[in-house]
Amino acid sequence: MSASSTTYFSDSNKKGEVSELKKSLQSPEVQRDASQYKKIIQKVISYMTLGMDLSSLFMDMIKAGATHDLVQKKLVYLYICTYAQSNPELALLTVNTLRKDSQDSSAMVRGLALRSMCSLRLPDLVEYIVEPLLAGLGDNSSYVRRCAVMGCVKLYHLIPDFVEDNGIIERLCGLLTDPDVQVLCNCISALDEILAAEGGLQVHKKLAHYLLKRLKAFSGWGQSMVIELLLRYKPRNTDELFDILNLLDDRLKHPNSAVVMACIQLFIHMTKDMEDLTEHIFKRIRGPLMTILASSNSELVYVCLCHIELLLTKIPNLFDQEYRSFFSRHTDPQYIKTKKLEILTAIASISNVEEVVTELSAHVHDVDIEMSKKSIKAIGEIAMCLSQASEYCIDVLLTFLSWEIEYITSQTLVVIRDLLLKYEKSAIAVLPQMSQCLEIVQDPKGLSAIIWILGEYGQSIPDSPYMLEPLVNKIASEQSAEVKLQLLTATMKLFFKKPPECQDMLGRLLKFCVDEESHMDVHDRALLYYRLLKTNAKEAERVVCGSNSKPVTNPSNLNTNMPNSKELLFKEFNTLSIIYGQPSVHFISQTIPYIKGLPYTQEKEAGDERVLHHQEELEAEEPILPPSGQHLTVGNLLGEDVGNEQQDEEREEEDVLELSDHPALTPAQFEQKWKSLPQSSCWEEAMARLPSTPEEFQQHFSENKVAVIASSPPGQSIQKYFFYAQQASEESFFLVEAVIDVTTELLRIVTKVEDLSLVQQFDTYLRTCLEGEWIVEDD
Amino acid sequence: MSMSAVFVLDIKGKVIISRNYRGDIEMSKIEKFMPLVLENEEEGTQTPICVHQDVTFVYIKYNNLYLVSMTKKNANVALLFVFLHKMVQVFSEYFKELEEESIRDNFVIIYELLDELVDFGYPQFTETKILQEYITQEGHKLDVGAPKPPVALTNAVSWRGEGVKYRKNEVFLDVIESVNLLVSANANVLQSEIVGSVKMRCYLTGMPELRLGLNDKILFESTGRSKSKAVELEDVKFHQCVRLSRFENDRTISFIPPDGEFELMSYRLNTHVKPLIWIESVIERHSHSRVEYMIKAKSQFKRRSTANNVEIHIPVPPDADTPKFKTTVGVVKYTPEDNEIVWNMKSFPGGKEFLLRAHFRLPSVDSEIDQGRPPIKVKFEIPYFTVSGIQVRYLKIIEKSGYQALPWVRYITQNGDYQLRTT
Repeated sequence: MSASSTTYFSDSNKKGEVSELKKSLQSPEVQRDASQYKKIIQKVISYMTLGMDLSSLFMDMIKAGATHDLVQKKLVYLYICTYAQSNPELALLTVNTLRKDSQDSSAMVRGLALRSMCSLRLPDLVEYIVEPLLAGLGDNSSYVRRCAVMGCVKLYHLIPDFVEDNGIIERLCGLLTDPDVQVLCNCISALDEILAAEGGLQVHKKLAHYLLKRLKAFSGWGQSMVIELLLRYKPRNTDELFDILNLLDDRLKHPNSAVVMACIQLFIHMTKDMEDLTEHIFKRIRGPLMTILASSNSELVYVCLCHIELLLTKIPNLFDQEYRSFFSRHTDPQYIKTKKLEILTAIASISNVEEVVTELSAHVHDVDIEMSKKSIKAIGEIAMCLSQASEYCIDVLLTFLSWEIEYITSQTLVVIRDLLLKYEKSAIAVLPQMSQCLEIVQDPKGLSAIIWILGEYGQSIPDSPYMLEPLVNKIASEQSAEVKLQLLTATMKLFFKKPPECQDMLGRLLKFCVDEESHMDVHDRALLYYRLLKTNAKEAERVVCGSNSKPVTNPSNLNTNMPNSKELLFKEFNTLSIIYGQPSVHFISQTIPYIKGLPYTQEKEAGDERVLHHQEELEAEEPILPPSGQHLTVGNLLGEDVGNEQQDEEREEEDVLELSDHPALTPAQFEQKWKSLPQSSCWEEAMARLPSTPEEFQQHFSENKVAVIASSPPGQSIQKYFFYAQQASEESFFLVEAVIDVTTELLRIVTKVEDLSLVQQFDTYLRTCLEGEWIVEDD
Repeated sequence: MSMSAVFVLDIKGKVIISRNYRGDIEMSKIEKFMPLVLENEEEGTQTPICVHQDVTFVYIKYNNLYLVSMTKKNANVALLFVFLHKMVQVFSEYFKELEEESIRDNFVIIYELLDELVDFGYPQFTETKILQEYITQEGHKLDVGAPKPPVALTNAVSWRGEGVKYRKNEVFLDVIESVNLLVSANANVLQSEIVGSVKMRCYLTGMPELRLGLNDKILFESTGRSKSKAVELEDVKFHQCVRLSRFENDRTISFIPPDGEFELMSYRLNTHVKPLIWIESVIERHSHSRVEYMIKAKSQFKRRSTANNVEIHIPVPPDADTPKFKTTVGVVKYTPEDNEIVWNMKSFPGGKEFLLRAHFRLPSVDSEIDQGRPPIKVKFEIPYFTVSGIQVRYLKIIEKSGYQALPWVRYITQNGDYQLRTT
């Protein structure tokens, strides 16, 4: 490339450039001078890279493809593949050149032509591509064969029928014995995608042993893929299983960490039912994991840490000896420091707790305030879980207060407040420091903790009423509702303990909150207290100071996910699921299985306006579940109008939505509609109860003329249903996705409606159907 | 692996170059990437993975570039990261330095490479040596000697091409051990670890067979030489050229090497040896007036070895001024841009102890920025020495043409991540 190429990227004078380029490309002089012609082509590509629209040069670029310069050819084909979809008619003209090139004497050109041809992504052109592609599968150059194999997958996604019509599966299976390992690897990838609907490529004994035999010749990528594929293989007996494990053992030493991770996954998977082995296997994979941890690839280290976190849920003491490896370094990126902190919290045990806590205390000094707070929380969690070490942890926490740094004091108090509930004896030592803390803390969370402690232990702190008083006096300027609520309760409690000092203050506080407070909760609570006191002071004391007034603490260690979902995570080891800490059903659109005759369409921009609630809490986007036969109850079998009249009366003013008794929609139509329609409404409700079987839930819908089209198999923590209904006049359809989260008992409804004017009515209809039975009725 | 597309972005998030592999995700989705990264950064929830709707971005940052891959599936993350780093390696080997400028200067080759590295989201050949045989900086003319797909692509020895020729046959072997050390503020060694690596540069003709002998403890024990000094290697990883089955059987390291430079093996050891260079620091802060440092550096290895180019980086407060130093050995420099002083000693023999005193003035007003307590970092190199005691006993080179080749062996121990926390 010439030195002047840098100037290609200058932004000057872009507009005129396109016509300039066109002129140059068409100029006979340029076309005669090969090197200048090539320079112009490079310029086109550089502009394309910059994001300019150069599709108007399509004709001229096709012409430029007829060259003997390989680099120029590559550039032209790159251009054609980029713009083919916007110029489908013209793209037809390139097919000839491409077909000719696929018979070139050079294998490089043949491979390039096949690769480009299959990347045009134009279903109409497939008929011209099939022949050279099939020839490519039998080419004597392995380079061409591997391009052809990948070409098969590309065409499959364009026109699925292509595979069946041309016996591609048989051809690819034949190529599994190809002498070239990359061809073999590509074949596996290809077959796995093409057979996705049937659960991917099936691994029988012969294939498994064959792959294991050739495994060592594969590239790292190939090895990791094959090992992942072997997850599907079930060894006949334990002898065979051990043979496989022994054979793969040295893969744990492979320099490509992806191979090591895949191997670890296979080891865990294959021995998952042999509980006596689990510990042994986990110990075997510990070393390789520690080696990845020592790698300089910090992103990989992060992935490794996430996996270690998961392994700990199975064998909590697995890394007890290695705890020092989880001490963070000044140079570690933030995300690694955080992960290490979480792991340290989890692996703290009696044998290492002092060192772990000392390490965590060192991070309380961290420049990063979040890190510092997390470290304090972590010490609190360790104290919660290891009661033998609680005293030590609390002593350490108390030393933090003496530093008199606002956020540290505040966070420490929050932690100590929680610890008071469990270890009152040792945590009570915090009381003498309260007045000094009160001067430092400003953060609402910390302030609430102080106020709570003052209310709860006021009788043991001599000045407690006078510490609360300034806060009561400042109530008008207090912003945080949390603080105000705590203040109300604490003042009430203290009032029962030290009535003479508190009576006046409590009166003022209640008056302000009842008369002037605008926050509903604060106002209501004040009113409640006021009425309680007015009715019966003794009873009020019982209500306010009863043992139940202690807040329920919820340290995250105790709050572990359901073991069930952890099992699911182990199944999806070595994937994004582990990073997110949740099974893939929560964040991946289910791939649409191939339905014969239906093109595998790409998802259209459907919901840019939709915003994810939460970064980690990924919601699956428009997942379509495979329609399973038994749930294909089309239409309302009962055909009764249960509950309809009742609603009519209730909502007289509104137009009543008439639904068809027998809505008719095939799964394929549903799928298309679902994908093409924008989301029209989305709401969430707490469920009154959970359905005991999916059928029970579906039944309720079909009784109300809303038919089910697909649902997730029973027994999952997230249950999904797809429903549809049709307007009685048979004009427009209503599509519904219902997701029940069993753990939180929430029901989320997403609807897509063809006639947007009916959104409101349909939502109301759905709600009425659900109310009473499944969701709590609105007041 | 199914990577839908790959992008190289500049530091502001502008796409420099991209390649759409699967066509199942709109390329414009990349516009969501940078806002997401910034948002996460702000909230302190930054990870090398971020998500927009159903698209997952898996990315790494290198120099001033983002390398981003995009996927819709529940992808194998470890593989994606290893691959992205591999990409950086290939590009670096092609252009020396991978940065914005070198990408813009070489966009044609980058396109060619992106085309060969991955097909439809699946990694293909990623060895630079092999790629260089058919993608070159000069470009090819079809009519003058068309490039054939390299033999190696069809060969069983995929890492070495045929027909390699040298006038002088030589092998250079470097045994490099990096020491990772973490010491707490109260002088406890929290972590001490050696990451060893055997690097080779092979300039050998034909298809040579090499055999490397180490003082491997397991080998010595099995052959009854348990008296000799031997090393127990943990977590050994070999280059793909090494026949692992032979190593498992009789601990022989035998292989046909790739041409040129490569890492033959790496290993990791947890050691309980004394830290090679020990730093004691006394830091006295008199806020609003001055801060004083007393740094004592001790070499705790044998007298006959010498550490070269020792650099001790000592953090100082950002608002310190008027530095004064006193030391008998080496040169001290204050680098305000890094908020540290660097104590440089060209050579530091074993069993010695040197002292540095430093004094800074502090402003009478408190600075806004809290620096925290960054650690002291040490850099050094000790030639002719390995901490683990690993030794190359022999390197045999056999080639069918029977030439004589010279093996050169070099040992070096250097700092890895070597940090001592300060009070």
